Amino acid sequence: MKNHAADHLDRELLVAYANGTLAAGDRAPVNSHLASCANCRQAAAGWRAVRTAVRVANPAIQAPPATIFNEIWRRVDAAPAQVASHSRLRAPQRLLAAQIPLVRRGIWAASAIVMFVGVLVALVERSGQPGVVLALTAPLVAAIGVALVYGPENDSGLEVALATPTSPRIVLLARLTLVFGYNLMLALAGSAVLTLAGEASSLWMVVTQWLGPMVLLSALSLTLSLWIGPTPALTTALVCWTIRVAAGQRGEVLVKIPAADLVRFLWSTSAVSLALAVVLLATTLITFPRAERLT
Amino acid sequence: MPTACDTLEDTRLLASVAGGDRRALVALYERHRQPLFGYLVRLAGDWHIAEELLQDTLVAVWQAAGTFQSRSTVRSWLFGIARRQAHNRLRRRNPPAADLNEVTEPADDDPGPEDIALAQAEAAELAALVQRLGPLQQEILALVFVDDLSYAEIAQTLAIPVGTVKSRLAGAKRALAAQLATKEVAL
Repeated sequence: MKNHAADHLDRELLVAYANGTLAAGDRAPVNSHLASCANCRQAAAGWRAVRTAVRVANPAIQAPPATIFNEIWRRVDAAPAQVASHSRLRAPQRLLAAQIPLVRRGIWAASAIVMFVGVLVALVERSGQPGVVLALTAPLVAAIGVALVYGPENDSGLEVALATPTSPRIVLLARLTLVFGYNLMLALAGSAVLTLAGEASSLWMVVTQWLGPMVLLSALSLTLSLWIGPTPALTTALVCWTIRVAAGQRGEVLVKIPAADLVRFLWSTSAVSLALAVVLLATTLITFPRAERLT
Repeated sequence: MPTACDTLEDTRLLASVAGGDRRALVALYERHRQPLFGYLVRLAGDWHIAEELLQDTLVAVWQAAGTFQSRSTVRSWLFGIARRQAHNRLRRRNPPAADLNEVTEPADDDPGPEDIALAQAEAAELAALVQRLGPLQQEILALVFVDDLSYAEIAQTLAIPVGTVKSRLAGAKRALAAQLATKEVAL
């Protein structure tokens, strides 16, 4: 309760004392400290003067009587069905639309350009492994986008968003849906182009090359971004992905790294990688209000 | 400052509102109408606009009562909704939620000459100087000393960290003392 710098009262206690709003349990210790500390008495007198001035500057205004409820109930009754359908059916849509301008603008263009170039390279190269460029780029691009989705570093409008009754978890989910969904669509479109161009025998064959790693890397990136910040999240995603790329394809190792088989297995589309991603994502969303770095 | 009993009664009333009990909303309004309306008048700067905002706020409370999650007190939740309604309507006039240059770490608040000067100043003179402070400083002073909100409640209402509440409040007091000093030098 004491100020760490010196043996003085904590400012919130002093302010509450000056304001007459000190909790009953704090009164005795504060009074006894003030009796023996001239510094704190002086500070309390300063705050009391501020309090008096603020109260004079803001004279009490009579609030409207409860008769304003006549108008309020009229408004509530006027459109009950409309309000219900409005909030149930259109709310998610409005929430998503409202988040679009709040997500960093660069994310949209950067994802599209990288994936476009990836598809172009695959078309030009005709390496016989049509999905490989997309498989290298799509997971990382999605993970970067997801790391930049939420948090005070990423959104100057977050304070206002958090002042609304919409819970931060819903805001996060809306943005995650937007950014991850956008990257998923881009990657799917790229895979469809490759399939249609005859580069791959089936769409699913291309999709399995990037889907699992994309989901897992994005889940990891989101978790780290919320817990320790976007920069470490981006760095970790980059390191993980570099290791995965170094592990190469089965049979053609780029750099000899330990447990290359395990790395390749982890970063593939499998029940294990998808389950890992789901567990990460669920844990993050459940614990999210605590992870929020606002206080 | 609300007692645990007040907080419990607020939560109970809001749960009844969520269940469709109109009398509960009226009762909730009766408990908070003075600070809530005062806050809206300060945000809007006009009694009539504040009254419209109050209606918007209470309609929003009626519709959103079920979404209250006890992350905040009912009081700061009401203030947050009121602030949001004011923001929607007065978008262009609304002060920024935060000053980007604001120091988030509270400066040590050693009592000094500024406290003596503030304590010795005339209340009316100091009140006139309060009205010349920036909007964010005026807002925080009124939330503390007029509405009696705790630091945690202010942090929830304004959606800023508690550290920012502390530093903004200390900054407001320093600014007031500085204005007083300037005025006295000028005299």
